[in-house]
Amino acid sequence: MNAPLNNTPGRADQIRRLQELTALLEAGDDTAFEARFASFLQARDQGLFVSVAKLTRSLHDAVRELRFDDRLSTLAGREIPDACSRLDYVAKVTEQAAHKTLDLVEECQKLTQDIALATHDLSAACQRAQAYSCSPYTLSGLVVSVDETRSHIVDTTTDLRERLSRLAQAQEYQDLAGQVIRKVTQLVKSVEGALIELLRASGGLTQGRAAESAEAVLHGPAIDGVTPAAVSQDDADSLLAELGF
Amino acid sequence: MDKNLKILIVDDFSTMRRIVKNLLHDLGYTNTHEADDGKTAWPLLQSGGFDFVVTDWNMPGMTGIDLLKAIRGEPRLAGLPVLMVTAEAQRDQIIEAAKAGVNGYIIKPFTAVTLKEKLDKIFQRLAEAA
Repeated sequence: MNAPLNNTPGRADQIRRLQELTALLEAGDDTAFEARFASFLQARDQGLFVSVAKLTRSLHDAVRELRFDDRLSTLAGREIPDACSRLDYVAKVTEQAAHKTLDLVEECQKLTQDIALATHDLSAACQRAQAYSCSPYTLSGLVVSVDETRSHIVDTTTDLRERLSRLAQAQEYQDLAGQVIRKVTQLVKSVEGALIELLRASGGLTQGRAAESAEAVLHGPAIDGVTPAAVSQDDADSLLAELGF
Repeated sequence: MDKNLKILIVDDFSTMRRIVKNLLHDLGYTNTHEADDGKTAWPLLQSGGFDFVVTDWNMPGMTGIDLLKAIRGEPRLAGLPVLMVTAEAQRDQIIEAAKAGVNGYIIKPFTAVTLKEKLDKIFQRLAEAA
C-alpha cells in the first residue's frame, strides 16, 4: 500500500507511545497500560479505516466513470438487440418489395405478350379484308372481330397501367428501410462515442463524461418488439373519428 | 373535385415523393410540387398558390408536425388542408397531429385505396364546411 496513512501517529510518536506502554507495564500499572494500549490500537485502526474509505471512494468513482451512467449497459442490453431487430425488418421489407416487384414485372410481361398477340390478330384481319375484296358479309364479321380485339387491347392496357402503378408503389420500402437504417447508424455512432470515451477513461486521458445521446423522440416504422405498440390505419381512423375528425 | 389543385408533397425520401406523386397523378391530380422537408416547404407555401399539402412527419430540418403547426399559426395559410402520410404510428402522435389540426392521417406503408379514401373524405368535409 503506497498511500500514506493519514492520521496515523508519526514514527517518533509511535516509539514514544510504545516506550510509555513499556514503562507502565514495568511499573505494574495494569489499568493505565490497558487504557493506553487500547487508545494506541484505536489510533492505528482509524488510520486504516480512512485509507480503506479513500480507496473505496476512488474505486467507486472509477466504476461509475466506466459505466457512463448506465449508457454502456443500455447500449449492450437494449439498443444493440433493437438495432438487430431493426435490420431484420429492413431485410424483410426489402425482400418483400423485391418479390412484389418481380411478380408485377412478370404479370406485365404477360400483358405485353397479350397486346402483341392482339395486334397480330388485327393485322391478320386487315390482310383478310384486303384478300376478300370486302363483301358486306365478311366485312361485318371482320368488324366484330376487330372490335373484340380492340376492346381486349384496351382492357389489357388498363391492367398494365394498374400493375405499373403498383410497381411504383412497391418502391416505398426504400423510405421505410431508409428510416430504419438511419436509426441504426445513429446507434453505431453512439457506440463508437462510448468506446472512445472508455478508451480515454482507461488511458486516464480525460475525466470527461459521455455526452448524453439525443434520445430520438420519433419511433419511425413500427417494428414488432422494438417500437412501442403501434396502431393500424383502421385504429388511427377510429381514433381520429373519436376526436371528431 | 377540381383536379387542377396545386398540391405540395413534403417528404425527405425522394422515392416516397415519387410514389405519392404517382398515386396522385393516377387519381387525376397532376399539379403537384415537391419539397424535401418543412424548411424547404415553408417558403414555397408562403409564396402562395397551394391548395393542399401532403406531408411526412419525421424529416430533418423541420418536421411535418412543426410544418403543420406553422401553417395553422399563419393566418394566410391556416385554412390549408394538410394530409399527413407517415410511418409514425403511435396513438399519442395521432392525437398530437389531430390537436395540431391535421385533416387526415395515413400510416405508411399504405395503399392507393387508402390515399383516395382520405383525399375524398377531406374534400367532402371541406365542401360541407364551405
